[in-house]
Amino acid sequence: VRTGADYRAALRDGRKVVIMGGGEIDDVTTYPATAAMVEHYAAWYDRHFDPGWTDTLLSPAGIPWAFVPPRSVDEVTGIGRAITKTIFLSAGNVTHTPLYGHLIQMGVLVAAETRDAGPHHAANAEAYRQHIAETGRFLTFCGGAAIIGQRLQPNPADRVAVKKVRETDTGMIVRGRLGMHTSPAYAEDVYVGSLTGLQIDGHPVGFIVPVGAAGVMTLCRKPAVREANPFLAPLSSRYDELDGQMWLDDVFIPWERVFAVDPAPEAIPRWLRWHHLYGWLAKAEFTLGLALALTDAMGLEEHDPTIEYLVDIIAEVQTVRTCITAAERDPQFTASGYCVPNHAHLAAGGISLFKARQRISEILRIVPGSSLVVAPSDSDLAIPELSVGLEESFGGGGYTGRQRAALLQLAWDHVSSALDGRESAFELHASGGLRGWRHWLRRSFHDYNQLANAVLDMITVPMPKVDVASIGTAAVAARRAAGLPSGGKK
Amino acid sequence: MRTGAEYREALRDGRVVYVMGEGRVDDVTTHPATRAMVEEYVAWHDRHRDPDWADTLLTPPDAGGERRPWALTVPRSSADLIGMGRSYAKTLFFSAGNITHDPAYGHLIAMGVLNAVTEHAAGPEYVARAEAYRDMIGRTGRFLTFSAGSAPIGYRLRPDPAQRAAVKPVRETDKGVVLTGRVGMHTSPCYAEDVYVGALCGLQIEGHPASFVVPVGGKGVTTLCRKIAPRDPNPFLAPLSNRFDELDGQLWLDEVLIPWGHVFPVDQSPEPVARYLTWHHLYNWGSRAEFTLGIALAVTDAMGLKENDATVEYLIDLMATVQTVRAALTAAERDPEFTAYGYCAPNLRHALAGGIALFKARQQIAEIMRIIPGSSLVVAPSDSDLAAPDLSVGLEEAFAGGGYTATQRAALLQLAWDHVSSGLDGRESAFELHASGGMPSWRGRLRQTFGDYNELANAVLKQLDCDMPPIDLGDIPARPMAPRRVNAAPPGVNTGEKR
Repeated sequence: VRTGADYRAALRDGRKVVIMGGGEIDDVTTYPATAAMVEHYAAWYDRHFDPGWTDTLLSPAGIPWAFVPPRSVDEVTGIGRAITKTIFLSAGNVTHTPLYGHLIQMGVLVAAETRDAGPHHAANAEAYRQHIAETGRFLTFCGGAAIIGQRLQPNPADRVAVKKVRETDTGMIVRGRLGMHTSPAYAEDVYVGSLTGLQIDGHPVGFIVPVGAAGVMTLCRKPAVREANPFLAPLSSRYDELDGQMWLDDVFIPWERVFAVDPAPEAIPRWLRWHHLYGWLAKAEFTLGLALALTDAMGLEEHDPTIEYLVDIIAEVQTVRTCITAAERDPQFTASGYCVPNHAHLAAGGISLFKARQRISEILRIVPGSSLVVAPSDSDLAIPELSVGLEESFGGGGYTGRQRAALLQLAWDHVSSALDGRESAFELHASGGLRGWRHWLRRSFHDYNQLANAVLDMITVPMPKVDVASIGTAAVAARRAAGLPSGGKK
Repeated sequence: MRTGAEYREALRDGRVVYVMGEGRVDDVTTHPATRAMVEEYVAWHDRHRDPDWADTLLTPPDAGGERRPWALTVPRSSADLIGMGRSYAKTLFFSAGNITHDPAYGHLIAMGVLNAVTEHAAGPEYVARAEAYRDMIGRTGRFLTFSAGSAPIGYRLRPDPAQRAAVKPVRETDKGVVLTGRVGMHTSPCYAEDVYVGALCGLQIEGHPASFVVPVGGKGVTTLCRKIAPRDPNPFLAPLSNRFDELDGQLWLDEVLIPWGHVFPVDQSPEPVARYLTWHHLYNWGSRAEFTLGIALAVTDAMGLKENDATVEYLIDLMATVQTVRAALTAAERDPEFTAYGYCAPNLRHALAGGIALFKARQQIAEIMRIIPGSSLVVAPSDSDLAAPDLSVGLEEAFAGGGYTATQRAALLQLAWDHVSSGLDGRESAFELHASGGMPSWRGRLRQTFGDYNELANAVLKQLDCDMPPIDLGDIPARPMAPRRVNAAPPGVNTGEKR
């Protein structure tokens, strides 16, 4: 794997990046709104050279787990352990990493194998996967959906994200605008999925576009509003991964980066939802860690209602850990032998956490008491006329006023900040939201008819054979169609 | 594994059994209140000789070609746990999760006793004693059930604290200890052959809290079963209630000799004995939830609701719970632990997470089952109504169609009603809210077994630039489970004051 410095240098590739509210930026590695995240990713790479991380991040063969194509339970478990240990470091806020990029391409590879539109598609997909594994190139994911303005075009034929301008012997030239995806300013490539509607030889296709390529412009969302003082915003000032849109203006895509893929909803995200669940788990674990630390700092270890709140969070955390354990140790295998965490177990864990998420945040707001709301900053603690009083107010029990305030501000930044709000808004959409996960469970739950007919054994009357398998094979609900607003109809 | 007939015969051992509201039962194998359950247990035994069940209920052949019942297997690996779990899932589903105690459960109790004696560390002779008893259960399939040993309410309200224990030793002899007392709620005693009575009974032997095994048919033993779940005698209306009422009970001991070989020093807490039982409880609750989902799916078909989005969403609600429990069981078995004695045991953390999820969801699951069929559930006819000449045509018109006769659709609706709106359903809920300690105990166990309090608390501090005190929260998991609630006598009763 390359070094963090190599990664940082790779981002100076002439990319055109605009930040909403901030305008165009010249260099993502130095711009204030993006520099911290670049450093986080640089640290991600460098951690692979840290002996303290070797057992977590490298396989027994010395290969980064981030780039291992899993073929066994042990390999899936090893990759999972690498994910959980690294994603916790950002409290679950940095959801996209080069490891995630490799999982995207694993999904593309299997989707190409499944579509079987010609051996070159799978071969190209595998070649690109190997390229990622060898170079550590950072790939991110875009489903390919159009932005709202395109979806409201009068002509249905114009309601697509991307159109093919022309084909050449070496590739295709595309133009359009792509909807929400994450970390494009920090990635090097974006996989654009088949929701674009592009077809080649009658097959739905996805393609890879380099962020720094000619004709590509990345438009990142506004940064999460935060205090400039890291004491007040220890997370927000470091882990705002910036979702974005992408505009393509006659961008050339070589044929070896175009893949005919299986359009089924499980195809590309085959491994991604596993990673999503690890991300949500990391946020929940971080919340639990904060709740535990605050229980100590606020002297509540003997307080029964506080312990009950902790057990509430523990139960949610353990349920997700349990579902992930089951998914990894009871896996599925693709036709070509890749090991995939069991989707049914993952879906159960994801649905459970979707339901619990807001309650978990609320509990963390409850546990510290109202000190959470009125905790001072380090600058307040340094004001001569306040320092003694604030130390009296917030110091004691083995903690200085500064230490206790730092912990309270960390909790606030985790569950009461704009970054927290962004994380919620993002996750309610990024992987299809609760509706998507429920539908995903519907498709991966496997014994409809077995259960239905088994209960009929209790009835002595001869019964018709039940066939409700169609419930499990239902197509994914169509993406909601945007109708014209009232003003548009006039 | 003995035959069902041999099991049936073993119950004619002179046992003294009463069923509340029914009086004395001379023979549990023939009395109307108990015989159906005896036949379920008979079938449980005979199923082990059914070739169709061999791959589910028996281990793979050993080197000598012998296959043993999973029900009586000592687990030494994850694969053993998976095999045992599969056999539980398949057999428990047969009673819609209503029969929670069977000889397989009894063997898990015996393994738990061995675990508890080993953890208590009173000496190797006691461990050998517990292993000998477990081995006997494993060889014979003798049906053991479990009582934690707590006293009934009257004992707990006695003025003298020394008189509040369930059981008192009358005398000790060379052969054993003679006990008198009354033991509170436990399950299936009139169908079992032995009852394990836990250390909550208050017995102390040589300074150790002691538990013991008492034969149901032993001299001086009286079993008092609860009232039966009220049900319609017509099996068409009550296909489950007529078959699966396992009857909880109390036990009275009147100078009963317990041989020393059946006395076990253990910790006061029943938790080590329950080491494997929690896992089995979750299988049982899971089977009940699966049965509910099965009926919901069948009713979805019978009521023509496969294309109804709202119905499918209800089904997904049920599926999410069922799948969470399946995931918990899968994780518990494939990520196991090992007991102090060296046996493989399901990972409690995973099982507890599943159990808590199901505790939260149980009532909603039942409610969904009542919603899906629509109000036809409430007004469905019986087979006798369908046979009444003046009603049959009208009822056929009202309930038949879409590939179902009225009898078929009514049978399915009555099955659903009996599963989630009957006295048996109410009993199951009341029982499970107490039998394994209820939600407080499951949460307490999770608090004790959750592993990384300090690791998580200190990990988040790394986000802060200032030096922080190291955190030690080891006391949270180390705190004992909440004590059993103490029943105080009403004001004035124990002080001699007039009320």
